[in-house]
Amino acid sequence: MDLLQPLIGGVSLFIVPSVAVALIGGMLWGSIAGAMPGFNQTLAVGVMVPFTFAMGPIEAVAFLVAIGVGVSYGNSIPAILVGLPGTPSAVLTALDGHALHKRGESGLALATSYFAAVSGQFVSSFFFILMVVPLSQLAYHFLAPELFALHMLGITAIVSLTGKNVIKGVLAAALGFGLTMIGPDPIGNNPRFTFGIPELRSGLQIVPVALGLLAVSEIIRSARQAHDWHGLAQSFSARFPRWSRLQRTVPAVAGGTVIGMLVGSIPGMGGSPAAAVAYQQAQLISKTPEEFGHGSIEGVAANEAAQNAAQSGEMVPTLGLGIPGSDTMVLLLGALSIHGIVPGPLLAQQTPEMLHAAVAGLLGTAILLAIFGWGIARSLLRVATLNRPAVLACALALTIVGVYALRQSLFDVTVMMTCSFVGYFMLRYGYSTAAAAIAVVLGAGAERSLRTGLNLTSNDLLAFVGRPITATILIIAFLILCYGIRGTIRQARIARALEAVATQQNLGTPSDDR
Amino acid sequence: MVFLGLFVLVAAQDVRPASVYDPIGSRGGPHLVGALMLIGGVMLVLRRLLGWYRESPLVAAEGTEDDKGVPPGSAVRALSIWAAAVAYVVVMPVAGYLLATPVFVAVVLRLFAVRRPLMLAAVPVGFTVPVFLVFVLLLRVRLPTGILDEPLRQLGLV
Repeated sequence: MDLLQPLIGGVSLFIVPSVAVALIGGMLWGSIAGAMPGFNQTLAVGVMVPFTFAMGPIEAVAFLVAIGVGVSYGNSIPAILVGLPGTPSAVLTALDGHALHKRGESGLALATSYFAAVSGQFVSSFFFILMVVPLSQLAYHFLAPELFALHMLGITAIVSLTGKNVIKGVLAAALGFGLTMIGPDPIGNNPRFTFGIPELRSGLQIVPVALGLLAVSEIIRSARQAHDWHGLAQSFSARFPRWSRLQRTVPAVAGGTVIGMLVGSIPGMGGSPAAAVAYQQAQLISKTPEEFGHGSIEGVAANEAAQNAAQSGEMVPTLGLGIPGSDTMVLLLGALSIHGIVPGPLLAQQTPEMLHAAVAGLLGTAILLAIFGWGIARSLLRVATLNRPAVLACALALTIVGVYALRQSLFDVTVMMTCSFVGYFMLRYGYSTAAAAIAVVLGAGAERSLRTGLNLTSNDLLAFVGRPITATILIIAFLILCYGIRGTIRQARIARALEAVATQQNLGTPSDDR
Repeated sequence: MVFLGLFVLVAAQDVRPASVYDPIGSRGGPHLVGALMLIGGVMLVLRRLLGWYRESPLVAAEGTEDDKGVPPGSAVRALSIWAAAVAYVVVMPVAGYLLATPVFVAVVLRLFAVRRPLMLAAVPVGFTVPVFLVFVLLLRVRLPTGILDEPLRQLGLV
């Protein structure tokens, strides 16, 4: 597969009417969902996953990718106009963008966000092709031991980089693995953990489990608070500024795009860390670093470019190696499983049309945003202040009906609700639902690769792990795990230090009074 | 997690060994998962006990925090909404989508302390009917009709 093939394949999909409709629909829904505070990307994609069963796999991938891109753009609108980030990755946009809005420079803030998001998305789509093609070709030469190592890398990366506590991350992944063990054993086909329930004999479907853990649990968690953003919206006027005013954001956009792409391509990192790193980098190279945090257009530009570029980055391990780069990518792979496509390292090789669909989603949505993005930005203020309880109630009902519609199975809905209950407590107590969901996607493949690989090496564990590529990947996985453990220890030390300061202050207060 | 790990380890004993020999076998995965849960759970318990002993009974929260600057969260509301969703799933086959859904959406809105009658009527109906038409007419999916089966058949919507 050469580098031009995915590009030509993706661009040629633009003229397929069903793909074009999927792209427009995904971009619009993503922008609207992104503009609703509290409606994160996982939820935006999760609510729509069941609807993809009515589409072909190409349209489904293009649609879900377009939603992700739309969310990354839409989340900046409430951040700038209301000061509420639509998703966590837009926090820094809210800081600078809202300051600009309050100074009466709404047009400049929105135009910077528009320019950076579209540029970041467009350029990173080409980076995506450059990175994913060599990776997917590498995967073609992998045998079972290498595949097992890859699965381990994906899981350890998520465990180490997403949560504050690695032990809880490992436990969450173990829970996900445990769920994949319900049903037939991948080698011997023996039933496991079916407890005499006929529906469990074929195992759990990925989509209900992933939606329960990632989307419905988040809706239930959001339902803890009954507030509304109504009344925060104020009318505003915004005109597109002259190019000379946007020109100085170009270095920040370029830096944000590269950082977003690279950071986003590490499984478990995603848009928020990418945006934070890009923001810091932009401040370092800026001629006016003092403006950062007080209304810097370079800050908005770096943040928005990085967020959108991270979308392309997340797709690299997902399609290149079959390792979902984020929880949204778990849902994307889950959606593919609805169409009978098995997620895994050979995905791009065996079904290159999925790669074309991803390129169409990334590049096509960038072009659509370039055409319609400015108009969308000006009209989405009302969406940001939609009635929050009504949005959550409808999202919950839609997810339930959608999962039922997949196989007309109430059992699937029961599985989803059970997983959402577990997921709610995981969220509350700091267990990574993303780690559990990714283990659900990768678990069966990991077990199959391990057992097949051991057979391949005549049950010699040293020969299994001693294969050069396997050993390299496992060492990287181990180093990432060590990095995560170091982070956990550091977090614990910081928490202890903060607690000590708080205790000292509490003890000091009475003496001060005296 | 400790109890879940123990449960997995005990339940793994009921798994029949694979007919073809492989060193890990059908029970290997469940044993590994159970052991991880057990060991990890014990480590968390010890860590918590050590924290209490060394410092204070207050333990820093590690989970996703509620939104700041708005009224605090209520676990009762969240779990009530979850219970309402479970009830909706149970009732839907009997009552049918068209009756169960508006009631469910209205109950959820009420749990969110929405009191305006217009809102309590408009949102459930405004959601239920378009979604029904999209699923039945556009996606050709049969949603549970329950007690409305006969009238919907006469209307050609089933």
